[in-house]
Amino acid sequence: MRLPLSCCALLSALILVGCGDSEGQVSRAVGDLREARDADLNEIMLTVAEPSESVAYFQRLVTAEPAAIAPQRGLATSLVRAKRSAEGVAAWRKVVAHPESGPADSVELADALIRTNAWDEAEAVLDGIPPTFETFQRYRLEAMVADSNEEWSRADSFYETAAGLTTTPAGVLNNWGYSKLTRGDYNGAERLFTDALRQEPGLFTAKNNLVLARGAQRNYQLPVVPMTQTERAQLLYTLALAAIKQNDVTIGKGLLRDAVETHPQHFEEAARALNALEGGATN
Amino acid sequence: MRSIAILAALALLAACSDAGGLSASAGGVYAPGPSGEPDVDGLIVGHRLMAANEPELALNAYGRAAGQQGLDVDTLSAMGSANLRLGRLGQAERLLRRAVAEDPDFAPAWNNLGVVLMETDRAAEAAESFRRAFALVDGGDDMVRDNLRRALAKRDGALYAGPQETEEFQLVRRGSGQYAILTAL
Repeated sequence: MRLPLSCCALLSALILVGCGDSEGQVSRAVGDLREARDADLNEIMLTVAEPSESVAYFQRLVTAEPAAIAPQRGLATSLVRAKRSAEGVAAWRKVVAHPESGPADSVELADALIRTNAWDEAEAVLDGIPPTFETFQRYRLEAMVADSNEEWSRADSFYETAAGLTTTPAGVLNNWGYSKLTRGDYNGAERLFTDALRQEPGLFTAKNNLVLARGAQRNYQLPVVPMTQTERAQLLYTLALAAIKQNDVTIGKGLLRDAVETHPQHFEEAARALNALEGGATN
Repeated sequence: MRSIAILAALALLAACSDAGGLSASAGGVYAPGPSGEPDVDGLIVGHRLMAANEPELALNAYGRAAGQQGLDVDTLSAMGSANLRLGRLGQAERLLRRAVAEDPDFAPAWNNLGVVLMETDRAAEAAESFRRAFALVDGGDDMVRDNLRRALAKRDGALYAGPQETEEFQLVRRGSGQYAILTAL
């Protein structure tokens, strides 16, 4: 059967009219799928991807959709992750200026500002956030700012609040301990570092700080914490330096010798320090 | 010309079959009377399947429930528990973390998250999760208390003792959508 052209046109027009609605549904469904896939990819880029790669990825997204806030947040976060803090500050400023931004973005801006050492401005940003916004990140930063102003009692209360707001308080306990170490409260610092280690037994910074706090009290014994052989050597080295700084040179020498012997490989720094202490005779 | 008119009518019908045809007013494909459109709560079905030790089917049921009522704290927590029972710890953790972020006052989700963390050897964080669950039930739940006690013991023991023999944790259903760990002795 042969149909005239006009009839074919009519038929196809009819078919298209019938399909209009379902086509809209399909495009919406595909859009949803794309959104879900993008969200997954964003998450990967923000957590496990190479930082510079994630910066490039989000830069591409931002140029594709300049009005959306999510890619800009991703770009700012990944810039901070890639240790490009100055650019990160600029990116976070852009996010905060966006009409859809919330207090959480201001907190992140303050974080980026602290990373570039702009403490006063960070404090101003934190003061501008409404007091009802109570998150772990906010109190962590408030405590750091209070520390930098040497307002110790405020810092203590902020650290306490921050530690209560998270299920992984090891990092903030370590910061708190370091703050106490700065004030010269070695006993309190030691207790906080031990708490941090109880929360996260693998946190080497806390172990190192714990050893420093003990060394400052002239207690030159390694604490009972789980550690590897390499870590043990490094802790002995830290302890030796603490001893030498307090004029306990003989103890320091012994500790350095221990450190060199404990390390499974050649321990360059400890060996050099030991040489410098004993070296006068050999030269 | 008549054949063309018929064809046109057919084309119209074909395009419209989605909306017209067996419409709801005509009773649809279902028999009239009590057996209408399936109107069961996917969450209840899922809980019963979990009780019958069919986590994979329960996960499907929870997925259907999520399709109906959205990904709220109940469905997220339930899907997390089903994944946990299937041994998919990573997925379970992600879902449960979303659940507690959505509603930090939902004790079962905190408890189940604690179970996942215990299984992945993060006793300290698990203890914090159980502590929140314990606070939310006002200390009135023995299972949560036992979980917290076990997590604290494991956390504080880790500083001094090396890794001990692995205890086997088990999920036990309690009430609607609430799970707790028990050691299989």
